[in-house]
Amino acid sequence: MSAFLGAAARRHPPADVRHVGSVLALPLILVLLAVGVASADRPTAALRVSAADAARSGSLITLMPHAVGGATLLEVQPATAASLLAVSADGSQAALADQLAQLSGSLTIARADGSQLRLQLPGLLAAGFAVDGTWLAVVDGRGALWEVDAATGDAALVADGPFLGSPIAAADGSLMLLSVSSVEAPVRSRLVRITPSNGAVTPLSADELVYAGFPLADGGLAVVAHEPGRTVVRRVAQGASELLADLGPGAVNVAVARDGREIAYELPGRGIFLLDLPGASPRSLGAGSQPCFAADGASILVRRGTGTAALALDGSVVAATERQAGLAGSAGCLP
Amino acid sequence: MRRAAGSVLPVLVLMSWSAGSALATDDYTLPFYDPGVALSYGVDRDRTLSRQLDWTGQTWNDAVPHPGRVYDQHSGVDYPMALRSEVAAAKDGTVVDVEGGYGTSQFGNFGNFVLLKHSDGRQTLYYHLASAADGGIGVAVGNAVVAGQPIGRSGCSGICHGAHLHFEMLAWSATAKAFQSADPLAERRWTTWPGRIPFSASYVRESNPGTEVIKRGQTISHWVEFRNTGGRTWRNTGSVGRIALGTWRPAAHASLFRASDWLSSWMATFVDAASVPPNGVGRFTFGLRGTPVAGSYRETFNLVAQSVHWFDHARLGGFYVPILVSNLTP
Repeated sequence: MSAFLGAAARRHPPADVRHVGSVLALPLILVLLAVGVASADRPTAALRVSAADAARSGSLITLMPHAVGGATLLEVQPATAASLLAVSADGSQAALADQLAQLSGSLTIARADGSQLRLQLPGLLAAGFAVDGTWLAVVDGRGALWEVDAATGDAALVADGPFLGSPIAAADGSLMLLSVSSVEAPVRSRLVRITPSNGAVTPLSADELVYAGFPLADGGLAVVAHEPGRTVVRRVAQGASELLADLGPGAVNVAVARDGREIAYELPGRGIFLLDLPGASPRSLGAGSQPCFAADGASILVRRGTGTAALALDGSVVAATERQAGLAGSAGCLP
Repeated sequence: MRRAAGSVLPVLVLMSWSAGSALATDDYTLPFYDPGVALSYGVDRDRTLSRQLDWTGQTWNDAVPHPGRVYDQHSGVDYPMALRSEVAAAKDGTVVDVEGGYGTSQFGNFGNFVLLKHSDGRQTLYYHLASAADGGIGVAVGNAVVAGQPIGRSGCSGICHGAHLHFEMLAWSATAKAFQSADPLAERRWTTWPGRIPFSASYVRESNPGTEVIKRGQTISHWVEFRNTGGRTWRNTGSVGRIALGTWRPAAHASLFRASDWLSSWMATFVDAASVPPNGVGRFTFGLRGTPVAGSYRETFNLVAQSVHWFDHARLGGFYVPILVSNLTP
């Protein structure tokens, strides 16, 4: 096991330690300009905001569900500068960050009833809800992993990391995400499973630079990895690794459908491409970036400009919005 | 005005010379060409959350960024620079890996990079580069590169706010069985301290600082000396990167004054000495041949690392040779 994997789970606080850390940062260039950077010994308690109070203060967030084939597309209204990080499996909650990878970040858990829970963390990079929606895993700006109670906002540090990627929670509560050599320059990235209850970290593939991992319907995993000069997709199951596709150089933001038969990816400047396995040639789905599949594999969510579009596999637009949106039931899938 | 450089420059050169002489331990240079680029953050040598140890040895028990020093968990050295600025190899090496698929300013978990391996067993990483389609990646896996060679252009791909180069030095850890982040500043890995761009020179003197008077068809010998104010040792051997004196304005134009000892129509000579280390003075000796037509001329020259990169001509004092070709014949 590489050292950076070993370091991931050095610290797991007792269950009763609910407030750990301080207002920290991933200070990139513009952070220099932050005035009066505060350092708090403990994060402030989560703030509960009722729908009425949110409406009065002009900060109401409405989650608008739309049926897209067999999936539910959750649209965030109104348009907001906050970044959508995660959608719960039942579509009743969404997690948003006021800013990404900055000195500190405000995490908002928006609910279908209009109420909100807000808490401050040491920057924010990603989040993912537990299957039952009672908690969510959050990666802060330094790559540390937190477990946040979705009802109370209590946050506990699970592991220092650094980690990247949207955590994907399994039914047993374990999390799949990327253990990286560095948040800012992840030239090594291992797909791992973390058990929050004890902090155990288990590598899930031998690939040294993994860009993403996707659970497959048959229990295996699709691993998107970078190798010198190319991007590949492998199916990993029961310790065996099988090459599904060699996408060559330049293919990024790759997504794999749950059935493992479709691969969508982005060629910057050229848009989204879909590869049907096995053996087909990739075909263009038009403009867009950061594709991800609905759980039923029948549609693909992509970012188009500042909005979001759901595409059928032939590239036709099923739904489109100028706002951010995510798919319920498709953990780790956000355009 | 043969030497346009101001009086401040020699002072700075002397300052860096004395510091560099005392501390130089290796052969890495800064990975860019603009001497005005300043470090914004260095490596956090203490990987514990909320505790920072910078390259000077100072420790902070906080997670607040310390400009010019460090921020919490930082694995490399950040150099802010404009989008698409040239990025240079910090040392001779071989390209191990590249990624150029992400957009030049595409925010996300991963970005574009070049990874090099070097003869000392270390690797250097150049992250947040512009996309390959945008000229961000100038090399391919397996290419050999020399120190100072352009390998890409800066961008803001990945987790990045504001264009900058994230430069990282990686050293093999036998215990971890993996490459791990090292601190080039704390380890004094630069050729000079606190680091210099690969290729830079300042004018020192020449054989005739005035006008060279040459008869038509006559060849005279001229020499000029420059101080190596860059981080790279000047050499006159090797297939690429030899330091030569070539014509300038425009670059590499065929010279009217080419003598028989010139290397080509535009390249007058290599540096005389086999090796000129940083802070050393290199002499360039070459012939000038009088043109068939009498008159008053000037020939402008610049230094070049052959097949790699031209020097900043302004820092050479805008060097040129005034030439008066007389009607007399030899």
